[in-house]
Amino acid sequence: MTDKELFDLLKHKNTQEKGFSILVHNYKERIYWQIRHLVLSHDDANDLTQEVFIRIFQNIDNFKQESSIATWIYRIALNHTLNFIKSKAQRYKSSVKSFEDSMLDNLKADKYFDSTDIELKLQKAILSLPEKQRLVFNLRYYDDMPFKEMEQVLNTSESSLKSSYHFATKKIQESLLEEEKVKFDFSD
Amino acid sequence: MAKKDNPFRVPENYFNELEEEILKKVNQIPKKRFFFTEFKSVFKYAALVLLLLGISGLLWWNLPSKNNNLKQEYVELKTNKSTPSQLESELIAEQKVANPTTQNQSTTDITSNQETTIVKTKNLEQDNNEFFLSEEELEYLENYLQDDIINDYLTYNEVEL
Repeated sequence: MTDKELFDLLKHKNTQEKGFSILVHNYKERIYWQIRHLVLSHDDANDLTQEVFIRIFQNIDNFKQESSIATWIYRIALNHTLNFIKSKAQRYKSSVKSFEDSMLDNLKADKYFDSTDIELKLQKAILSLPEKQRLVFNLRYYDDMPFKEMEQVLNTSESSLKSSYHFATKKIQESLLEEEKVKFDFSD
Repeated sequence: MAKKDNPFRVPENYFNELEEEILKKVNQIPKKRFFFTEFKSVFKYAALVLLLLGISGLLWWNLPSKNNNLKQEYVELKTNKSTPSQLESELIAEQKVANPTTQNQSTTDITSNQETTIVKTKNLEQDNNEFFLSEEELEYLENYLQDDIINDYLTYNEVEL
């Protein structure tokens, strides 16, 4: 189903529920993984994914077709997730960075994470990246999102995104090499 | 979904349950829509029309008062014209005697001549008022100033006592 057809379904009150059901079916996994790679915990990712789709449903009328439906959904998911991380850090009266460290500790105990040493070190290296580089790295490395699409989701130029990805992979490689002298292959 | 080695896992059958859960929650959202959002565009135009009505109402409120003033001024002018002062009446009568042909002129010409005379008369009255000296002033001049200065002053201003 094309974006146009899906939008037509979502636009009309009679077909809105059907359209939304298709939208959830098509995007639930991608949205879940996008969120999961940022918050790491399955429980948080589960809650956030549901909240994102509810928010999408409530704002369907505001979608103006200025971008693709996918871009619009990713942007909502990303903003919602970043707000969640910031508000949770505030709730625990800690900085975002120290909250992210606690996320790593929780990850060790997460039953839905293959808690091997090397994976934990990779996640630690990803968490040490600045926010923008981490977003770009996750979207590219895990979700295989093209830079062209990422440009619209993050509202940043393609060249800047490529440069962010380049620096992110470099930092991660250095971080891992320092600890384990293991080199990961981050080629596209 | 993730192409690279994904260390993250999800419970079995998770995504099917997730879809059901989301749709269930969405169906629980009250369907009622706020009246204003439903007719947002209609309200937008209604507000615009109200604004325009308000502006034109304000203009209308101000204009009639001006018209009334103008009307009042016009009525006063007409009234003044219809009852000319004694001096004006005399001048009009003199003019009629001096130019008997004016009687044959059209009413418009007569009115025009009368108006010119009235304006001239008013100018004359105004000129006289400029050099009018009251009795107190004259007394003051006589008592406290020298005669030649008074004479000079009166001669200069062409005032006849």
